[in-house]
Order: sequence, then C-alpha cells, then structure tokens
Amino acid sequence: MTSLQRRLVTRIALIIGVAWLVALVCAKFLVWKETRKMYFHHARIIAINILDTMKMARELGDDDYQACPNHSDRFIFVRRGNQTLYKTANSPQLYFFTKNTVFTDEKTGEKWLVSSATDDETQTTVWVGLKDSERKLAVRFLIAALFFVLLLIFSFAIIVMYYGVRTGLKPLDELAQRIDKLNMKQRHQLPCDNVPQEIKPMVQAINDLMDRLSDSLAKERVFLDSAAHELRTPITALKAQVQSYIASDAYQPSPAIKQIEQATLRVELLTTQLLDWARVQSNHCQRKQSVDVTEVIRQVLGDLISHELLDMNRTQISIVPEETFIVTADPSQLEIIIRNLIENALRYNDKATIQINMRCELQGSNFLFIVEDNGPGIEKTHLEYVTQHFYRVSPNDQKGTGLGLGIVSEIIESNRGKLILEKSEHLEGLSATVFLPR
Amino acid sequence: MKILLVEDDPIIADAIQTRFQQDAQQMDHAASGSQALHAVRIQEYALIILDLGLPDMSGFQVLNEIRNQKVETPVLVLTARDASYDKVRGLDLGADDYVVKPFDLEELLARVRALIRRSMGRAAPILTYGEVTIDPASKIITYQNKPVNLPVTQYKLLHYLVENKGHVKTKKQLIDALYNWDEYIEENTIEVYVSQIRKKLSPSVIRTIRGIGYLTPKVPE
Repeated sequence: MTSLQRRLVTRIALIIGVAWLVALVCAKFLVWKETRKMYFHHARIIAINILDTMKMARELGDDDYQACPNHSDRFIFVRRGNQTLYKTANSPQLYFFTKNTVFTDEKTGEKWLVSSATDDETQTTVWVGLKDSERKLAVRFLIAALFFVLLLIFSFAIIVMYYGVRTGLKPLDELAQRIDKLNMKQRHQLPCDNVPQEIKPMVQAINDLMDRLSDSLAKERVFLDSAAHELRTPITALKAQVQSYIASDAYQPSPAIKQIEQATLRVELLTTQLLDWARVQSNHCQRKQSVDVTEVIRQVLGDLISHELLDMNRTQISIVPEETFIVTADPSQLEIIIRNLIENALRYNDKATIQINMRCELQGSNFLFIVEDNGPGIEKTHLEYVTQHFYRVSPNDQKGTGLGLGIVSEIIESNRGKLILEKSEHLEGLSATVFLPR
Repeated sequence: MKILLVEDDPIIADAIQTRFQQDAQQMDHAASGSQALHAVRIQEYALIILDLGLPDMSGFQVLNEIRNQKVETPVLVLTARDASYDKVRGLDLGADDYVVKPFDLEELLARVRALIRRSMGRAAPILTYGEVTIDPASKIITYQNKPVNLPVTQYKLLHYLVENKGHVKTKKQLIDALYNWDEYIEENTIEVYVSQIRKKLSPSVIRTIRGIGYLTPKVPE
C-alpha cells in the first residue's frame, strides 16, 4: 500500500539530502577557490613587506639584509637584476614569472602558491611561495566541520518535516474517518466547510459519487419494489384461478392441480421475500416502537398454523419467557426476522417430531432472540454463505427461496445487530442467535 | 343483494366471480373506476370489492367519490401494496376492510361474508358452525338446537372466532379485536371465557393451541 505520508516524507528527505550534498560540494568548491585567492594575496603581501623592509634597510645603510628566518611552510626568493640575492633553503628552482602561479617542485613534488612583488627602482623582485598542502589540509578540515554541522541541521530538518507532514495530513485522516461513517442509504454527505482548500475538490467529488451511488441504489430499490408489486397481480390471478377451480363442482382432484397450487405458493413466497428485501433496503421506513417479542412469535406461529405450514400435532414448541418480553424495535422488521427463522427451522426438518425452542434474553444494551431446532442444521462449510442472497445449501433445494436468511441478516445489520448461526447444543440442529439493540 | 367487484385484471375478476357464484352470491363486475361509479349510481349493492390499481383513476378516488355521494355500502379494498400508508389511507377514506394481494380466495369470501353480516345489522343471516348457530341480529346462540345463554363478551368472542374460523388468534389479538383500546383486560380473562364457552357448547368449538392462542377449526369436528 502506498502511503501519502511516506511518499511525502521520502521525497522531502531526498530533496533535503540532495540539497545537503550540493551544499557540501559548492562549499568545498568555493572554499577551495577563495582560500587559493587568499593565499596568493597573502604571499604577495609578504613579498611586498620584504621589499619594504629591504628598502628600509638600504636607507638605513644596512645592505646586508637577511630577509627572514626559515619557515617550512613558505619559501622566499629575492633577486636583483640577474643576481639571486637571497633564497630560503626550501626554495625550488624558479622560472621568474611575475604572475600568481601554482608551482610544482619537480624534485620534492611539493606544490607552492607563488606570488611576487617587484621594486622597479632597484630592479629587485621578491617571490614568496606558500605551501599548498597546508591550505588543502585547512580546507579539508573546514569541509569536514561543515559536513557535520550541515548533517545535524538537515537531520533536524527531516524530523521537523516528518512531524509537519504528519500534522499537515491530519485533515485527510479526519476525512477518511468521516467517509467511513457515511451511509449511502441515508444519503449522507461530507461537510464541505472547514475543509482545506486542496481537499475540497476531493470532498465534492466524493459527495457527487455518493449522490450517484445513492441514486442508482434508490433506482434499484424502486425497481425491486415495483417488480415485486407488479408480480403480485399475476400471482393473485394464478392463485385465485387455481383456488376457484379447486372450490368448483367441476374440480376433479389431480396431482397436477395440487402441484400448480404448490408452485403458486412458492412464487408468492418469493415475491413476499423480494418485497421484504426491497423494504429492508430502503430502511427509512423503519418505525421503532415498543414491541412484545413473544407476542410477535405467537402471531407468526398462529399464522403458520392457519396457513397449514405448521402442524402442531408433530411439533413441540417452547417459548421462553412465556409471558411478555418488551423491546424497542420495528415490529414489521422483527416479524420478518422471526418468521424467516421459524420457517427455516420448520422447512428442512424431516424428523417425526419437530422441536423448536425459542428464547428471548436481555444482554447489556442488546436483546437476544434465539431459535434452536432439531433439524439437519447447516454444515460449517455453508455457514458463512447462507446469508448471501439466493445461496442454497443444497442445489436441489426446492423448498426455500434462498432469500430468507439474507433478508434477516440485512435487517440485523441495518440495526447494527449481529446474527450468529451455529450448531445447536441441545437440539443438534441449527441455532440462530439474533442480537439487536433494545 | 349483489356485490360489486371493481377489478381491472380480467383473470382475477373471473376467478373471484366464479368462486362467489359458487357461494350463491350475485356479482356485478366493473373494470374501471368510471364504470364502478356509474354502477354505484344506478344500483344499490351489499358490498363493493375495490381494487386500488385501476386504469383510469386510483381506487382511493373511487372510494372518495362513493363516500361523497353518501353511499354507505361497505367497501373492501384489494391492494397490491401492503405498506401501512395505503391501509391507513384506505381506512381513513371510509374503506371497511382491506385484503392484500395475493389473497386466499376463501379468506376473501370469509371477509366479505363478515362485512355483509356486520352491515346488515338486524337483517343479518344466521351463522352456522356445526351444531352451533349464531344469530347476529338477536345475539342468540343455539347448540344442538337449544338456546345457550352466553354473556355478551363471551358471545362476541365466539362470534369473532367462528367468523375467523381456521385462523389462530392470540389472546392479545382477541383482546384487540373485542375490546376498546381504553379497556384493560387481563389475558387470563380470555382463558376463563373460553373455558366457559367450551362448557356450555362443545369443547371442540374452540381449540387451544398451547402457548400460542385459540382456534376455531375450519371444519367443525
């Protein structure tokens, strides 16, 4: 993953590093040049001094002037006319140039920076050479000192810059947190004010994107809703005709008609679930109020019995608590959850006696609704997929629609709850636990 | 008296008409809102079954128009939308009941019968369930041709369960259906009433679905 912070830090560090190197090279070059100039100047001043001293000695009548004591880091060479008046021991053989010259003594390999001064009156020229190696040493020492000082300064700069980048990128972190909290179904928008200028276009782009996405989601919902509703009329026609025929005198019991009726009921179930799904998708119609969960369970069971989907002669049901259990929830959503979980517990159960245990509990700020059955359960490999729409444990499953658990988990998610499916410890079948805020 | 069916889908209309004729109920069919309004103007009906999705105008408009003409005929609304908004609006505009598509034909028939009975008041026909008869006009109940003396509340309970035969009702649903919202009724009261009704009639009239509610079986035992 690329991090903007890392990118910025590495780039700025690179720039600072390069600047540091360039500064060092430039400093070295400048110091090199300037010290050389300074050395030539210095040599010339010495030469002029010597000439002046000689002039003064001559005026004082001391013609036997000995210029100065020997220094290892310099040489002096004095000539009048064609005659060498004086030279230090370390003086190389010169070619009597007058300009500033870098002179390499071939014998010792020593480099000298030589400058001269001439007294036209007496035809005397003084050459003074200063050892270049001394200067080089000084320059190197200076550069080394600079290297460390600059290194220190630049390291500090990098630390400051790292901190600066981090705090500078804080609006992005905050933006990320805000984006994380966005809910497209509720058409949330990111606030545009109090946002740095650079991020504003991004925020606007994200808001536009959110708009477009919510639009297309809304269209999808409307489509799903209308499709499911449109399906109801032909299903009503089919169902009414079948039932009208079965009730008529002309009816002769036949498996075909029974199967048509069965198929009609399945299409009806599918339509109802598609509608439920559409309704869950547009969760703006959530209406929370206080609901008695056990009463909803009883009504769902009563409805299933009335529609002959539940045979009490072969079913044992326990509801805990038996009396009321009041929570705050959307009653229709709660009914969808309870109905689907009970239908699932019944649908795939081939046992001679079906057993379903239902329990409601309070746990902190949540309430739990647990449905356990003695049916075949769901194998572990399928557990994580059964909440996907149209997922079926068995591809030959003709009983369910493949939507029920998906709708249930979507309702629970939209309420920030939790659905846990596992093997039932008591009844060996499936245990479904719903956590919902109460 | 006839029933008016306002339904634009010919297949649904045909099925309903066939089933109702089976039940010896006379029925007129209107396929649009204007036809329905015309029919209501020239004839009196026992009940109107009104589909909300009509081609020329909405069912709500038809309902509104009927009620504006001071026609008091009970109206049963058929809707493909079960959103509570539609229900509330329909009931507000003067519908007496609603059935959501796709409905059970038998349930529609039962609701229509119940509505007609209720609207006819004293003229309502006697309800027969096995060896039990219920006369909504005089509120007299007979069992095996002998009158049975039941208090009004128990009479209401029995009447409701027989009218909804085949449907399990929880104690709460019974209380909601039989009492006003400001009356406080203990759920145990229902148990007491049921056992008294069973004693005076036959135990099989009301079945207890343990832990869930009560049921008057679809077919008398």
